[in-house]
Amino acid sequence: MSMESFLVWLPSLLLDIVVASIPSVGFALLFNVPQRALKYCALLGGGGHGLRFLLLHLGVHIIPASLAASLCIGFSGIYLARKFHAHPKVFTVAALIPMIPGVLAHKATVAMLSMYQQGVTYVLLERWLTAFLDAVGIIGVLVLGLVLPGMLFYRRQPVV
Amino acid sequence: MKNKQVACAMAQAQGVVGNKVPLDMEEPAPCSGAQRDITRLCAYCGQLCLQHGAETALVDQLTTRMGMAFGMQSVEVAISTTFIVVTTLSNGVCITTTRRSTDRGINMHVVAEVQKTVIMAEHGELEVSQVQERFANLAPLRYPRPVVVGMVAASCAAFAFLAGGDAPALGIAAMASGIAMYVRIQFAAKHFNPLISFGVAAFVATLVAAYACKQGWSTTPNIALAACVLFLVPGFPMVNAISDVLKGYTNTAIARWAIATLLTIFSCLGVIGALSIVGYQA
Repeated sequence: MSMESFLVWLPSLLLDIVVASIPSVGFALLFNVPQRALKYCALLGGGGHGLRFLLLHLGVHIIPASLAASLCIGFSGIYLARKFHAHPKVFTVAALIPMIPGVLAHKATVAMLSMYQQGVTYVLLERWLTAFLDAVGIIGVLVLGLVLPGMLFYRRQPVV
Repeated sequence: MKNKQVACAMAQAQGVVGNKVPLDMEEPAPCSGAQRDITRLCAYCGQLCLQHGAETALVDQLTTRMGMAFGMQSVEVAISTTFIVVTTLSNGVCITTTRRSTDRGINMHVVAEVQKTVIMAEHGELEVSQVQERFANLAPLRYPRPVVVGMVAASCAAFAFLAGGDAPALGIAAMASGIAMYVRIQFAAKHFNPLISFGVAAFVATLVAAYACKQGWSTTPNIALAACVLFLVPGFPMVNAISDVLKGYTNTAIARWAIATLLTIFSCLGVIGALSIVGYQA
């Protein structure tokens, strides 16, 4: 990617980061995250989604891109945990939420409903299975990326 | 020997703290009040974490660390989804206690506070009585309902934006999810099973969104329909299930996974029910 095209992408990247931080804060409220940690949830959520956005536009497949973004969130979570003496999950789980493939999951649900109503056809089956497998794959790497940093580098002692 | 047991039982029944009761005996009392207090603290610490959605490794770790911080020789913890058993060993005496754990909903504030208390106790900044006081004064943080509903509506609009929805789709997602979140909070306040409140919330959200989409305001109705139920993603049970199974707590992991799967299935049922009623063709 050349510098010019990056400058073209920059506004949409910034918009993506800002918009992705909203669901992070929304879910942080649902999880009753302490008030002073909310800004870090927003930061991690926006940053993670922004990183994935950038990688996707660099031509990386969505599954490695999601893994990279969630690993980034996981490592930042450990840094914040050590800084504020709170468990990393206080920051990281809400930050992961914007990347959950909700539209794919919904597509799979609707395809399932269509198969039930109209009978199973090859097209519907294919639509259901692709959406379902993509959704499961993305959710799998997202959760794995969140858990791995702690498991790799804090094997014998607690993070905080 | 029998005398000693009786005296100990009496001390426990009367809730006497310290070695005050069996003064007339030569040997020390078999269960000291201090150890009993510490065991209760450990159990309460684990119970709080377990009830408020901490992963099992953290519950285990914090309970153990609390006991070790107050000089127990060992603390053993057994954790299930509905109960926690704690055994402390001190001066050759074991005390075992069980606590029932009812789900109180995810509350990271409580988990963070308990962790802070344990760290302070480890650094010798708190006495047993001070920890008891901190736990007694611990009021779980709950954000005001209007704020939560508003932020959830904004979140679902953001989801719709991220998925490439147009402006009417954003509005529809925000409205439908706001109404559904209000319903979910009302159901939770009336102590309905989370599975039922999730299903009903998904039903309401999809019903509102599908009616709005039928009016033809939005050119991307599918995105509005998908985004309006995204606040029902069971993020914490799912992440905790994977963490637990990776750290060897397979039984709680299976339970958490089952709950996450069932929550998703009930949400799907709500969506399917509403779509069938409206007769909306995707």
